[in-house]
Amino acid sequence: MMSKLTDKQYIRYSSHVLLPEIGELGQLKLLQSSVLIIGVGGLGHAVAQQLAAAGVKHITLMDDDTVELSNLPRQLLFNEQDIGQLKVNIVRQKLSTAYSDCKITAVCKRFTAEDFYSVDSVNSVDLVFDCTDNFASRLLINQAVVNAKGVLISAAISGANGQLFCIAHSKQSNFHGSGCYQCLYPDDSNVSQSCAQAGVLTSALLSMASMQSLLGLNWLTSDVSQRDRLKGQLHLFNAHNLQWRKVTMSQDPDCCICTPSCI
Amino acid sequence: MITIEFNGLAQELGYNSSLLQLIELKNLNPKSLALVLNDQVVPRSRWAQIECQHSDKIDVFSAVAGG
Ligand SMILES: [Zn+2]
Repeated sequence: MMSKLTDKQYIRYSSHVLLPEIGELGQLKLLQSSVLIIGVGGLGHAVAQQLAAAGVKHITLMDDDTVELSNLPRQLLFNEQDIGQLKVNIVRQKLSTAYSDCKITAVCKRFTAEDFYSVDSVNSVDLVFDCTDNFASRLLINQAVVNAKGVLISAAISGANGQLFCIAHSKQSNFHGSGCYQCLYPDDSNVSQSCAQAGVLTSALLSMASMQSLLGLNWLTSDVSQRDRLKGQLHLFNAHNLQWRKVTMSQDPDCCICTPSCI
Repeated sequence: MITIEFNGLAQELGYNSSLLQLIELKNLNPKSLALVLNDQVVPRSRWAQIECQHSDKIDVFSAVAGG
């Protein structure tokens, strides 16, 4: 385990080290962290880039999509030469070249029920980022993270409305209190369309991705008591009037995913 | 009657109205919404049991899933 930054790392990450809340210790934590990003579209590509640039040690990318022309205005790591190629491979190539401290693993598949039953991928990381574009995947990822007693940072946007939250298992309270994604949206919910269907401004999308990354970086560099204040809050973004609002999440006593009787 | 604030606007409501009755009064589909009562999310399974109180601030919003 590293106990000091190298001279080169000290220079590279000097803007982090200068921050009292991060410092050398916080940067060392990032350099030892491992995350899983599910969905490498508008949110996922930007979260991957920001975390790789911040010095996160290992990023696993999971997605089975290929780059399309209509992705280019909002997925800024891709260009016309990449069309038809797997997103996970392109992002791995580009970020590995730019950010040498970060190891990137590309997994070319959609998150499915199989991944839920073999939760190794979810178990072995410090954080899971849900950057997917559909409700069914979001429910499945939530269930997998709750079962693995992991930490989930989930962001979504459609049109001008963005939503972001962090849920985490704790020994004292399990998921009691904040609940899970399915406490917020039961599985019979009707959910708005994806960005491709409902439209979104890239700047609104990237604002969500930046807040999702920031929440992740804050989590990774925080201690236990600071983490208590990061989880169980739902952040609502209105891209029209540029307002953020924070509300407290609640566990549904009837939730079939996160209540003690079903974990 | 009591007065509550619904998505930022004043709303008159009969005594003993539940959150679910408020949603139905507004002709909204409960299954497409999340509800926040005074800055705290109320799980959908509780809406029928919780009565609106005078000057409650209630906001509803749709689930979004895009990324
Ligand atoms: Zn739950």
